[in-house]
Amino acid sequence: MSGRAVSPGGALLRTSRMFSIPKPLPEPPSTNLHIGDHKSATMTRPYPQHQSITSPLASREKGDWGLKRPFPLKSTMATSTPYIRIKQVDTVENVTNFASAADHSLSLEKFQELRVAMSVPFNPDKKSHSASTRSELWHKSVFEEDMDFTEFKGGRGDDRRWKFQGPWLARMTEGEFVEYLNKKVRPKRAHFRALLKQKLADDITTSQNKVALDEGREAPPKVEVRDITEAQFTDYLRALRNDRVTLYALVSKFLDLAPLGQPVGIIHAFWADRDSVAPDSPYGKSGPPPSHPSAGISYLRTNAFMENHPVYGPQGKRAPALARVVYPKTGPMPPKLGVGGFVADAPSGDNEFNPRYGSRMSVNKGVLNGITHLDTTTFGGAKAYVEASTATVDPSGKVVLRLREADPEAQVIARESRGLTEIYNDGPTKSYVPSEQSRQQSTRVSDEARLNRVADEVLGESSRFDKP
Amino acid sequence: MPPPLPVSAVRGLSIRSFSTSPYRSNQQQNQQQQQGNPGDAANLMMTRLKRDGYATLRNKQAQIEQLRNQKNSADYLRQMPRRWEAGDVYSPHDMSPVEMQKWRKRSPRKADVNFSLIQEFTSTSGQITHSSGTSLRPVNQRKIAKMIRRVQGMGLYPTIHAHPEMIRDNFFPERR
Repeated sequence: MSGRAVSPGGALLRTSRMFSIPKPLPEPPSTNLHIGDHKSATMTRPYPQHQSITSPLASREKGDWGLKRPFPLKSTMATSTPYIRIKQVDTVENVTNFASAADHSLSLEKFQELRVAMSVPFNPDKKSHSASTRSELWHKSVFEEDMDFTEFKGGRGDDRRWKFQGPWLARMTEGEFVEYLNKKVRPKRAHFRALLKQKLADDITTSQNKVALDEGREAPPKVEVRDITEAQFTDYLRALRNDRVTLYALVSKFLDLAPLGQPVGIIHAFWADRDSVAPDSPYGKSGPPPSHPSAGISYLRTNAFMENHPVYGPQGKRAPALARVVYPKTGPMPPKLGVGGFVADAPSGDNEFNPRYGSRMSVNKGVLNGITHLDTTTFGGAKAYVEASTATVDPSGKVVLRLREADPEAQVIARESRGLTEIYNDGPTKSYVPSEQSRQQSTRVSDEARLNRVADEVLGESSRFDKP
Repeated sequence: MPPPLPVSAVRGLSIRSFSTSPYRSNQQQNQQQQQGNPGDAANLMMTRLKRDGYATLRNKQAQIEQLRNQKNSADYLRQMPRRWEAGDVYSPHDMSPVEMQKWRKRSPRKADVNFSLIQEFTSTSGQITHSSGTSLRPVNQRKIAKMIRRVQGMGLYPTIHAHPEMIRDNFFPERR
């Protein structure tokens, strides 16, 4: 770093908020086609688009947020969450366009309180070989070295990157695809042909060398690109046309396309033995995420740690979080729970979130209020304890939490920590040590001794401690 | 006068009925003696009947309760038209009625207007023709009047003259 002197005014501007506010992210795509046309313009977006900024109280009292002009005290001082997002530093009306950013700021805070480790998407329908299913018993962190890289290494695990130069073809619309073909693919034809020629020359050289080695001769001179005739190359192209697997591999490597799901059928078997050590990309099914797969929302690598309770000691289960039933079950759609401001599907399986019709279990266990229908009697809506196990970033940039049923013991402890129940026994704990006499009597198994013991149990410790 | 029955048939029937009934009653008496008091079986039946009755009553009450809840829930959910998806982020504002109102399915107000129909029911200066002039029944007059007011309010039809397309011929007669 050469210390090039910057004028004091320049240094001030460079470190100022006005110049350090990053460009806003694009509007999140609307994935739901059904309600695409009528959505709210003021809703909380699935991810923040603007940087959230705050200012210390002393500056805030003066309206100083480090921007061009002081901010109105009436709106910026009357809140307990002093976070704003700047939509425009300066507008033609000579005002700074800003809005509250408390929604995303507090959601981030709540998410970090959940202590969720981000993981790569989990493919439930992948049953190719047993080794991979064993490794998918637990979630794999997005920060593992074998998946968390973006540079093109040319190695085997190359398609497990999360960022590619080329697009993911499956998500493109027809128009986008045609434009991509015309603008990006067609100009690269000559380059690709040259590459193929080089590959053909290399192939011929290796096969010649192999034949020579088998026959014990000297290796023939290396075949150069200029030695390849046009007819030879055309034949090679024709052969390549029929060899789909090789062609697809070459093309996607050349254009650096994001991997698609593994082709099924005959090709599947071929792919499996070709690349059996390195499993395919976790983003093949749903597409690569638009950001780093952690989305920067959590930097934890694992959730395999124990929480310590100050009185009860290390806990087998994590402290559960109170979830709000945002929307009841509608038809086949699972009920939606809100955890820390993030909507998630209710945990599946036989639990209180899934009503089971025509079975005795539903009678015994009971279904949470607000699952089958909206709970209008509970103040603030129905809530339940759940455990957030992990989260993934989906291709549209949403953070999808994966919930798990909370352990009943952990629920009781969580409720006690909020002062709702009392399970901690502060008094002396009872321990019953049978006396010698009673033990001898019990060996004889007389009715009288049994009756005495029953009486002891019924009367409690006072009569029991009188005896010896 | 009824025809006389054959004597043998009548006798046979009577003999059979008399012969079976005492045997059956003996058996029942024996069973009752084995079980206990003579009122026990009746008691048992009554309790079973009552229990079944309670069960069906409870079932019916539960069903009614569930139906009421379903209706109540559907009424409220109609006011909450947003379909949440996994991964959505919400803040308290997103739960408010103001926000929920924005997610409603809006009725499409289409801009396809039948200008000749509008002209039919407006004066040359854009006023709605009185019902005495249109001779429509009141319901249809109201509908037509509403249509004209809406179209004029949306700025699709002029309020002080007929539609320019309709009066073009008055100004450019040579085009015809």
